[in-house]
Amino acid sequence: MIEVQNVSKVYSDGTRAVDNVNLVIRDNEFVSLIGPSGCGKTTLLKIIDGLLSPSAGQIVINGYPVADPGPDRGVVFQDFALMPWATVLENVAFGLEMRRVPRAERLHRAREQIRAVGLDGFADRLPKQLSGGMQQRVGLARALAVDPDTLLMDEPFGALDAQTRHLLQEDLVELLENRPKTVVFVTHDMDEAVYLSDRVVIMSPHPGRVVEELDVDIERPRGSGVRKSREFVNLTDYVWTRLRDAVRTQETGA
Amino acid sequence: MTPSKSGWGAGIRRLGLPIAFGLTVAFAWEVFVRTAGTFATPTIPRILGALVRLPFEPEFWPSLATTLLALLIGAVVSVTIGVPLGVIVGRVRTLERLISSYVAMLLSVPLSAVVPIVIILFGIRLTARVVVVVLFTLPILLSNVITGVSNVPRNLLEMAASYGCRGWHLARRVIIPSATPEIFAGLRLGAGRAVIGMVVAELIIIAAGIGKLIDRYSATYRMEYMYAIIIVILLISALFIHLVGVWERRVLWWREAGTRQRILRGRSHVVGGEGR
Repeated sequence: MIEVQNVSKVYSDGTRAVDNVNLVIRDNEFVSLIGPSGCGKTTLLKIIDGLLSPSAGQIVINGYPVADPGPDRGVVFQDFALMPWATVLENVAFGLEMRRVPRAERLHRAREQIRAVGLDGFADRLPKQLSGGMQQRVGLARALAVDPDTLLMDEPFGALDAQTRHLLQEDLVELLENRPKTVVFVTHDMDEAVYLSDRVVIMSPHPGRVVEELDVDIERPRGSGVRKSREFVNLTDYVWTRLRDAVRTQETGA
Repeated sequence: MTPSKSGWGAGIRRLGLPIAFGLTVAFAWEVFVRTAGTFATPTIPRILGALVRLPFEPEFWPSLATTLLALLIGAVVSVTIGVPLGVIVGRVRTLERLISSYVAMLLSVPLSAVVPIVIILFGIRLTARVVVVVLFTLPILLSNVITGVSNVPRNLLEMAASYGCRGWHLARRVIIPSATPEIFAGLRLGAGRAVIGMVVAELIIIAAGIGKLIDRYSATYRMEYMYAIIIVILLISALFIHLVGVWERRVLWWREAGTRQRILRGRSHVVGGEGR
């Protein structure tokens, strides 16, 4: 269980990126943080990982406060963050290498993950030889390779075209069905948030606050047909109405 | 299929133009020398003749060895100091602010003016010549390494941090690979400057190595030999830079591999879709 307790983050320029946020994320729950830019969702994700330290409050995981990145959490980055000089295999094995996993085991586990994300046969390619969608599959495989309890995903599909994004969303759902994990997923895409999540946390900017937590009671497994269901449409509509005020306030500067 | 970019056509384009240019300059030189030349401007056949006889001069090979030794030691010392120091300075912002402007200054100082001080400090032996080579090479290498290291993409640093990658691991697995293009740019520029440093050292400090030969030929007005020596220096320089280039292509294979493969694979992306 991840507890976000009274977390605030004020940057050195005075920006209040996150303002007194409280959240409880249960084991194997899929939680999306959604909101317009400036609502502090990425900052909050980085604080949960320990990449940033909060100005106030703390992150408690399974009863223990954490301040640094740890092997229990794996991050999938928005811009993939792959090493351009390393092959797919080396990139996927990077986390294991940092955990001092012996070479043979490391490569074996990396190959397994490469297969799991559907990149069989691409192990020896360089990132730049892959499409954006495939690159993010590498990023996902790298995070999964260390077998973390929690996946922290920072707008992982934001840079992809709509079709690729849908495909990756469906594959992520499938992966998680086979191997349940806690996921904190940052996005600004309402469809994506509702389709993937058990719970959607709606945030508003300046300062970054939680506006509402919305349970998504759509039954799993969710096939791609779910997106056309009345439930799904109603929920995304509702998220939009809640987001609209926040976005409007920001756009007009009021 | 797009026509292959390698092979004879490209070879001629790549080499032919520079060679044609060189021949034109040589021809212009010859015309100039034959119409308005003095004893200081020997004809090309005489220069070439001297170049051919140079290896049989009793002092040529020992001089060359002396020179190359200083050059090589200087280069090794520069890399040994420059790369680690650059990595550290590039990582520590305060240190970078502290040092960068001085490195830039060192780059613009006429180093020939510093050479007499080096003689006083280190005498006139090998050490002094090595120090001069290092003085010429190190600043340009250092400034390039610092640039490369401070330009490591933020997202890679975050990625590394999220896996607990720190210290030596971070340097070896992320920072140095990422800065490698700039490090090699520094090595290439440094190689050229090392040769300059070497000749300056030998000419100003002491009659040693090739510098001594230049001195001797100039004292005895054997102009064609002086020109021949200059050609030798050019060849050393070209060889040195070429070797750095060969090394660079071996280390940075992923850069070229990427672009070439991308062109080849452009079509299959559409067909293969997401590659599954």
